[in-house]
Amino acid sequence: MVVPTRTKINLGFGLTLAFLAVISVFTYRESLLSIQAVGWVNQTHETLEQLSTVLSLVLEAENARRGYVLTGDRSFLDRYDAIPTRLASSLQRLRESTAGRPEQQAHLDELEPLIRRKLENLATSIQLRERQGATTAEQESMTREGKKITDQIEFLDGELRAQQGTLLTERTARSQVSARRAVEIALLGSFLALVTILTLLLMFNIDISKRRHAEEVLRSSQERFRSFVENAPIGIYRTTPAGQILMANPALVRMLGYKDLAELTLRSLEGQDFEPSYPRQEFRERIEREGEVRGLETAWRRRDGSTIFVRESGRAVRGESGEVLYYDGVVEDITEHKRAEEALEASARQLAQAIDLARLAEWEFDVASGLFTFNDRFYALYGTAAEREGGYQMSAETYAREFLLPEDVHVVADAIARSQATADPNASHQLEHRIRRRDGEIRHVAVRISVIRDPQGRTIKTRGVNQDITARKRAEEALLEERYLLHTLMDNVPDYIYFKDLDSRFKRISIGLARSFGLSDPAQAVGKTDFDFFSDEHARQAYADEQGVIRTGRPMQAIEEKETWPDGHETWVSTTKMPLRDAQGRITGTFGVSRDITPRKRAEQALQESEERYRDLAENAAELIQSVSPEGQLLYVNRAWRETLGYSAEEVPHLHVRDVVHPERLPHFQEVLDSVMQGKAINDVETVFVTKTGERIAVQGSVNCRLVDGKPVAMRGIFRDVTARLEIERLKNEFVSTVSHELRTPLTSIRGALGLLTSGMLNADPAKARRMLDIALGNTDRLIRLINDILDIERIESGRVKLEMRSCSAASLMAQAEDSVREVANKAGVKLELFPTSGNVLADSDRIVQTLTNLLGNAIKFSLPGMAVTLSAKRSDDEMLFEVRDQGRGIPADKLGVIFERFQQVDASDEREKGGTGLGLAICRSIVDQHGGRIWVESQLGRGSSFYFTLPLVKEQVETSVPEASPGQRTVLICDDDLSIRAVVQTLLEQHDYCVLAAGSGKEAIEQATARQPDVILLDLLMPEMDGWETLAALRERPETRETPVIILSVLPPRETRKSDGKVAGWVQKPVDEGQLFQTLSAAISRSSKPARVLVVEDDLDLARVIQAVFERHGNTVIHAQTGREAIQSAQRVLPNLVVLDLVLPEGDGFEVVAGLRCCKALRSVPLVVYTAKDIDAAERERLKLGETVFLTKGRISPEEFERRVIGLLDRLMSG
Amino acid sequence: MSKKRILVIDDEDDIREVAKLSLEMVGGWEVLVARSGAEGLATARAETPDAILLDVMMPEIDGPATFRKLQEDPVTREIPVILMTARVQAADRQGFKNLGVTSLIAKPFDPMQLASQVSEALHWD
Repeated sequence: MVVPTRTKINLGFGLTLAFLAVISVFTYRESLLSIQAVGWVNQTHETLEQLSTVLSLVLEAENARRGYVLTGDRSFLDRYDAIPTRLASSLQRLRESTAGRPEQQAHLDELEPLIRRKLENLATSIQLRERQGATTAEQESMTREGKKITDQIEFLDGELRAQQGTLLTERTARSQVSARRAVEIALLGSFLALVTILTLLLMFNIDISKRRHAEEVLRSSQERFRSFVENAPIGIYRTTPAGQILMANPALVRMLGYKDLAELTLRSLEGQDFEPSYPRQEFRERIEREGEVRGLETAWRRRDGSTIFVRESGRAVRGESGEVLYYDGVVEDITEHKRAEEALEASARQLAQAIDLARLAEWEFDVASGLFTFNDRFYALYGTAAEREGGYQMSAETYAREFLLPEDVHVVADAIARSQATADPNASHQLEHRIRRRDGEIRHVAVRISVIRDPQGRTIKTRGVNQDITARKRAEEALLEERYLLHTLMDNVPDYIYFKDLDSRFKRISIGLARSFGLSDPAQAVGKTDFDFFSDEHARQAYADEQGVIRTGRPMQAIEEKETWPDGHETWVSTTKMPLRDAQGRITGTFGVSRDITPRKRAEQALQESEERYRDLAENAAELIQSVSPEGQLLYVNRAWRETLGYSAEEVPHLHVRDVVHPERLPHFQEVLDSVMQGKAINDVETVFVTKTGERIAVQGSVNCRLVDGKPVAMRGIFRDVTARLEIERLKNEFVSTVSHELRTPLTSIRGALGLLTSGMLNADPAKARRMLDIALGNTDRLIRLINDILDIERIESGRVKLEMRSCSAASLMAQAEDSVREVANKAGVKLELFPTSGNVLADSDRIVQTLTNLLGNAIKFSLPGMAVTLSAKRSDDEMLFEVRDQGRGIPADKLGVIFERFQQVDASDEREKGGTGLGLAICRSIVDQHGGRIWVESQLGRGSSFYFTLPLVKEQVETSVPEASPGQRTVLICDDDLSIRAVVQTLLEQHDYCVLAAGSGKEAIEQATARQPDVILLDLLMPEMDGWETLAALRERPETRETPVIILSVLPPRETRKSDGKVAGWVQKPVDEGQLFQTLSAAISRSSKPARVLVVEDDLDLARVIQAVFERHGNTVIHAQTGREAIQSAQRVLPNLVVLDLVLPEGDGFEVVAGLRCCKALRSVPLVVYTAKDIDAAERERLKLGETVFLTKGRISPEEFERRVIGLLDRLMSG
Repeated sequence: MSKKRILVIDDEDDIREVAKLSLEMVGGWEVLVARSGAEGLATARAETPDAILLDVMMPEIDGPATFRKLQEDPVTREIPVILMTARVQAADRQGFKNLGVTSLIAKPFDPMQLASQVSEALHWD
């Protein structure tokens, strides 16, 4: 039996381990025994030692007793006293060490009483000595007894020692035996183990050398095998059970066409890699079933795709349990053999076919009998059989009738006749004709005819073989048909069709293309290329396209191509280019169809250009232009449209009509679109668009529809943005409506009051009548103010009033304004406070005074008695800020924004109560706006309001111009250190046509007075440096000023003047009362005025009477003229001192009167007051200038004002 | 039949006075006056006049607003209202008529004809 090396090794090591285990156990046991024996030896030694101790103690006690007894020295007793204890303990130990040994214990039992007796003996002996001293007898006796006991003890000790000695010897011997045995066992075990290991080594070495030998044998066998495998002419393989190739010899690799084994081993015989014609599954099953497969012939696919035929044998290599480890197999290439076989088969098949063919449909015609003889195949060809036709023979007539088509009968007959007529005996004749089979089908046959003649050369028989050639015939026909169709196509279609080869050479072109190339015959193009016909540029492009088609196999469809020709002209074609393939699908060229689209292209271009032109026009038009689809989608809008509605060009295509037409107007707009779609154009469309941000845009315009083939395609609209215009119209209507209401309201009162008065119903009630008159009068005034204001604002806003901008002193403007409202303020019990500041503004003084007056008037109106109204001015860098402040009720916040609008009083009833027109602030704003200033209001309810406005400041200039008095004008010098007083008084005086000189100090006053010699001096008293009195005195000292009347202007009340003060012409107390001032001035200036003659030219008799009354009251003579003509006549007659002239007159208007007066030298410089309701512009004023001319407007100044102005003027004139 | 009582509502003192005098003297009616819409509503409710002569343009509660409030109040709903207005443009007139007032009298009016205009509108004989 062969034991494997590994089993041997395992077995050997197992044995060795077993031996070692046994040895260990024994050795251990013996060691234990030996140790125990040693213990006992030691114990024996100890027992002996204790015995010696006991004995020596006993002897020591004896010695101590003896010493005491002999000497009586008690120090011996000290040694003795410790002994009994030590004895006891030694005995105790002795007993312990001999435990378990009965014989020794027995000795000890004897020893102990002896020792006790010994000790007692000793004690008695000592006591004796102590009591009696040394009584020798007794001591002798005690000593003897003691000696006796000691002897016994020593005997016992000897016994014990003997015993222990025996024991020791025994135990030592036992211990030695144990130790020796342990060593022996260990030695034996080690030896056994060694022997075992040696045996193992030996066996192992034997095994290895055996194996080496075996390997050697194997290697050489493998070498041989490999050599065989590598060089074998047949393929050898090994695969996994799954078919994966593990090994294949070079022959197999070559056979299958692979590079090397590595490449092949990636393959599997199972899968698609070799496509074996015999399924591997079956191959394996067959091996399972039959143990192996031998000589299986199958076809495999080589790597290059070709097929080889192989003969394969295979078997399974199995593992111990019978499972398949590998399949090994050999493969023999039998392709050559197979091919040969196939060829053989094919030739056999051909032979069979030939044989079959040989058995053709045969016939024989016997000339003599006129009968055909047919065979079965013949009948089969004709779809019949001998049984059906009544035998194999048939007359020629029957054959022709039954089987030939009538038109073919003579063809057949002719052919037979011809063949018979031929002299050559070997000649065979052929013809083709049609037959009708029994089932009615028409087929074609080819007939080969031969003739059999007798020796004399006469034809006896005609023989023939018929062959069915229908399939061929039909193919030919189909081909012909196709060719015919192709020719028809190529020769008739106007489109350009071509076929080209791989090099883009024409193979064939259509007649249309040939014409376009200028060729008479399409065949002329064959072999040529595009380069022969087109410009290089186009030909290159076409070539590139076609090569692209060839390369990719992808057609180019319906591309639009511009063709350029050598002569430079251009045409357009729509082209499709396709790859041309042969029957195998290989691309052999290209073909294509092109259509000339030049006319269409040109039309498109023209259209595009025209559209671009119109689009450009539309795009830049100011109108909103849009194009809408019939569905309402926006197609196009121009820039103005986009800008107005706020959409970007990108957003427009997403917009619908309903997005841009205001929802309210959408139904109407839709109606418009609907009727436009009927083909109507609508030119007066009004609608409202909505911008992207939701604003309304009112538009007007026209909409029409573009029809194509009677169908609407787009609705085009052109609109104008009329939002602004409509807004203006609305505002105008609103204004007219409001104004008419405002005018009618006072008229209602007037009309009502006068109506009642006129009816006489109130005659009986004078109080009511009086009341009605007051109402009529009051409302008349209101109406006049209203009309003036309306006209005023209209003129200012329309710019028809040209502002006369001058540099004006702000203080002066403020003083003038204060002056004009002072009376109203006084009446209302309202305090007026003025805080002017120096500085000049650029302004039309009349208009700014009007503004200030208006604001002050309002402030006074809304102040309660006792309240103050302040007018102040502040200057900044470039403007003057005026403020009118009151302490009235204030303005609600919501009204602050609108009170400068027309007819926007805070409370409409204010208008009536306070007599306003609702236009005052609107006028103020217009005036300030025209001056380039700003106006606004700040207010707190219940606390008062502040109205502010600004005016541009005039850059400070040194006032070089000194006022010059015009002829007849009085000069007044005012001397006051307070600028505001100076300004106020100066303004007042200037208003009354005085020439004013101003001085801020006494010194300055004296200088000016000396230089200018004024008519009168107004002199303040309280002044710094030189006061009024000193100044007056100085004036009196100078001859130039000695006589000049001086009026004191002071806050101080008048007092008696001192002699030294000189002459004082008058005293006016500050605050200045205007009336008093002028009265005093008039008085001061010499009152030498004579009664004047005044010519009043006025066609309105009522007004003329009123004016006349004014002048007469002042002691003047009035001459009245009602017409222009009358006026000139009267003037020439009376030479008036003053003319008061209305402009609208019968018989020559005011202008003609002035012209007339100018003609008369005496009247050329007559002072003139033009008093008219007409507004006069600058040119007209120039035409109306006579002497000193004053313009007063009826209705604009009050009767009182009129009186003051004209009388003042007259006084000055008369006193001059 | 007792004297007709008519309420004149107008913020213009003078017009109110003229109208009152005219209606009293020419129409022989008793005339109540009110100087604002609010006052007019209170008076109308308290006195239930036979008719109301109502100005259009008034501050705060204007004529149309006053009229609507009169219509809302069951006490005053049945009182005929005649609007007086100085706004006489066609568009304005149509707007006022649409309110549902009995009649419309234009300002300025003839004081001698005012009473008869009112009678006519109200079919008072």
